[in-house]
Amino acid sequence: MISLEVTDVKKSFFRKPVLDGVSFEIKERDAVSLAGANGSGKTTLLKILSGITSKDSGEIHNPFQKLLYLGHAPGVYAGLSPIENMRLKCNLYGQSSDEHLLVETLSDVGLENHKKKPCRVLSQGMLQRLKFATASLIRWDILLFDEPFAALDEDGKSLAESFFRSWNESGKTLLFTDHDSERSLDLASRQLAIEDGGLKERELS
Amino acid sequence: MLGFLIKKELLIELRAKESFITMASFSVVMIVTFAFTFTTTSGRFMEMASGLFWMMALFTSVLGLQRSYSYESEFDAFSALLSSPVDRGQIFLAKWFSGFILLTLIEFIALVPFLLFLRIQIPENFIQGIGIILLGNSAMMCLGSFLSGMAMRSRLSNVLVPIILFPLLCPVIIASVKSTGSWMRGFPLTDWDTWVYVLVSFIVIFGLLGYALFEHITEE
Repeated sequence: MISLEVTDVKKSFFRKPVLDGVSFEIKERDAVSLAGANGSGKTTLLKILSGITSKDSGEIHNPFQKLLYLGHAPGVYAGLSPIENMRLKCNLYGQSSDEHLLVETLSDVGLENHKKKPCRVLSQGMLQRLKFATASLIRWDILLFDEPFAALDEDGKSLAESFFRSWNESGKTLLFTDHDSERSLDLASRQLAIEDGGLKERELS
Repeated sequence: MLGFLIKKELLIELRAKESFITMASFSVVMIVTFAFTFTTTSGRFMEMASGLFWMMALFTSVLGLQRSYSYESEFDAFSALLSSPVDRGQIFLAKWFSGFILLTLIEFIALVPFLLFLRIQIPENFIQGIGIILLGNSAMMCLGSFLSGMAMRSRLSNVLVPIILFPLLCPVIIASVKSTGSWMRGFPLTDWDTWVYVLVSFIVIFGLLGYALFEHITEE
């Protein structure tokens, strides 16, 4: 069954085309890695799919799917603590926020000692771990994750990879950007690459 | 969901207290400056009081609006909010109502030094006065929240908001000043109810516009 169908999506910034007729399909349980050079339009594509950025033309079909977008920026309120931000996300996605579960989820990513500090004082790596905590807490069908391994230390990267593997095993649909082709080989079932505004399927071998 | 979004806005403000402290101190300083600038009798102050009060409210509201959206840009929390399954019209309503609550709270705090320093006697029919203040605040924060949402993606949002907001708020300021002045002088409501209708119409028009268009104006 198709989870996400994108047909001929175009987007230009200041008359310069970034996405020039991008079309692809993602099936249920696919783990798709999105590659491309810096500035090729990966983030723009993810932002269009999540509804943050408007497209100039084209169609996006996402039947009955709950989508979670985790962007390149932390996407949290700097003045609130990790636990408050997670409670906020739960409420936004119509889920209850049990205190025990929130603390447990933060412990899973190694942030239990920082649960009450304002996010403003956390490092980039910690904020990246918080995104994984959010993704494991929210119920979603498709995850759009922009550079999930950015700013993480070696432990953090291993933790992130284990999250990806568990999502893969539980049959979740993933679309993420990553510059590390070896890791993409390991974690993704398909790889798409943006080149000159178009999208190409790359062989994983 | 709306109640939750308003709670979120107020919680963020409660934590930082940035808007609250800035707005409160600004309004008190403005009142003290007025009191020492105009060396006039209590009777003359009554004539100017409505204008001074709404001038204070206008500048104070801009400070609040700028802070309200800067929380969203820091760490790009606004993108996370927009990508969640929440009606964007409700995000606008939450910004409007929380801004209204904050501004009203500041004004009621500032009302004490306002009455004391400017030696103004509280007019009769206090409820009418509160009604005018609530309507004026609501109209200002409604348009302010809409325009700040529109300008927030711009690099010059701090400059853009006052430039666009002040001229567009002229009808609100004129109606608020006129109705407050008439109330303070004890004129019957039937003599100045037109100004109240102006405020109500403004709130209805821009409230509906904001709710319907917020989705489109916040897209990148």
